[in-house]
Amino acid sequence: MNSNEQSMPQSPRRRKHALAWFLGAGFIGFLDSAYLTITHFIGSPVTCGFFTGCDVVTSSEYSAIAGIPIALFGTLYYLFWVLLCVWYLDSRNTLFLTLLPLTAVGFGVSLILIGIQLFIIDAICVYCMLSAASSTALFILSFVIRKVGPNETPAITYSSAI
Amino acid sequence: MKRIIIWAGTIAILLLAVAGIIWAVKNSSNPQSGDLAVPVSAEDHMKGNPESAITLVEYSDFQCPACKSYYPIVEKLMDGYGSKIRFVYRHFPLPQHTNARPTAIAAEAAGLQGKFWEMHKVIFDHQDEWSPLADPRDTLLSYAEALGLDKEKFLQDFDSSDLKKKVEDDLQGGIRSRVRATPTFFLNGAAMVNPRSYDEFKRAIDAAITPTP
Repeated sequence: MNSNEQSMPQSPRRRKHALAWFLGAGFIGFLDSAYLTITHFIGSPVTCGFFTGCDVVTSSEYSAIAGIPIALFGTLYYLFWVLLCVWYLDSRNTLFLTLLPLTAVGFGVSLILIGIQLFIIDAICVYCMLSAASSTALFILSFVIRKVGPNETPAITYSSAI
Repeated sequence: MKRIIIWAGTIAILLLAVAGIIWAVKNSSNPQSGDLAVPVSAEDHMKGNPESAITLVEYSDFQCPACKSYYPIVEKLMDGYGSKIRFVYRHFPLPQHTNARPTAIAAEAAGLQGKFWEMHKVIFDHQDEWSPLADPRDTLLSYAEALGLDKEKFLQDFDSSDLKKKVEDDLQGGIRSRVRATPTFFLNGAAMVNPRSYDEFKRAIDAAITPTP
């Protein structure tokens, strides 16, 4: 594995790191959103620790759309990217690269939600901020992956490296 | 084969993660749980049936949007259950809400003239108006005038240390009751997991009124 990795050109190695970070950020976002979704449906309070504001934000009128918690949309969003990224790593299907610009949607929604927390609800939910950080990371990493994407080596070569 | 391992592994990790979160949420101790440290007394602002054995206590902050969103729910509850339960409102002004304390004091000052609940309503109804103000004093005074309160007495009470202490006592009582966020409700002395709708609230109250044998 190491010998293959060392022989990889710089660009694929950078892409490999970017994909690993992308997968990690997506998984963290998934865990975070899933936690908020689960607390919503179980009816358990959100554990804020020494932070304040979680309860204020998650019980606000902005926390759900037509009764569906926004966190559920977030969970599905991150699940979508995690599965798509795994699919790309497995098959090199370029649909992943084609859809990467859609991470801008998650980034934009995160900006709106941060704005609502800061200027309307006047409270910050640490879990919402973690989700915003995850979607921002996905957005930034999408540029890195797409930038090095055209230089990618054939799937078979890359697969043998991982 | 490798493909099966990759996908089975991915699905397994995701499912385990979700199952782990569900387990942790269900088994974690409720951070809000705790008994009401300060029993209901004549000092409290109460409405509903004062003789009722069912008591709902709310620790609330006038500047908290979630408290405002719970306000119509509690009002609706009291419309339906006013003869069966008693509702007590206590102040828990959060430090990040700079106008929570003055509004709490204003409600107390109105209470000294017999109009606590009227001021309570006006303050929540106009939260967006006074919330961003650097000094809400004049706005609160205009509410007092609109409610027909004695302006001079209201201002005198608003500046009194007694009412500041009353609000601070409520806050400290809430801290002793392990209130961590607003609003926090206690039903018959036990902290509630905040109901997310009127129907959830109603179910909790119904269960308290008709305990299972």
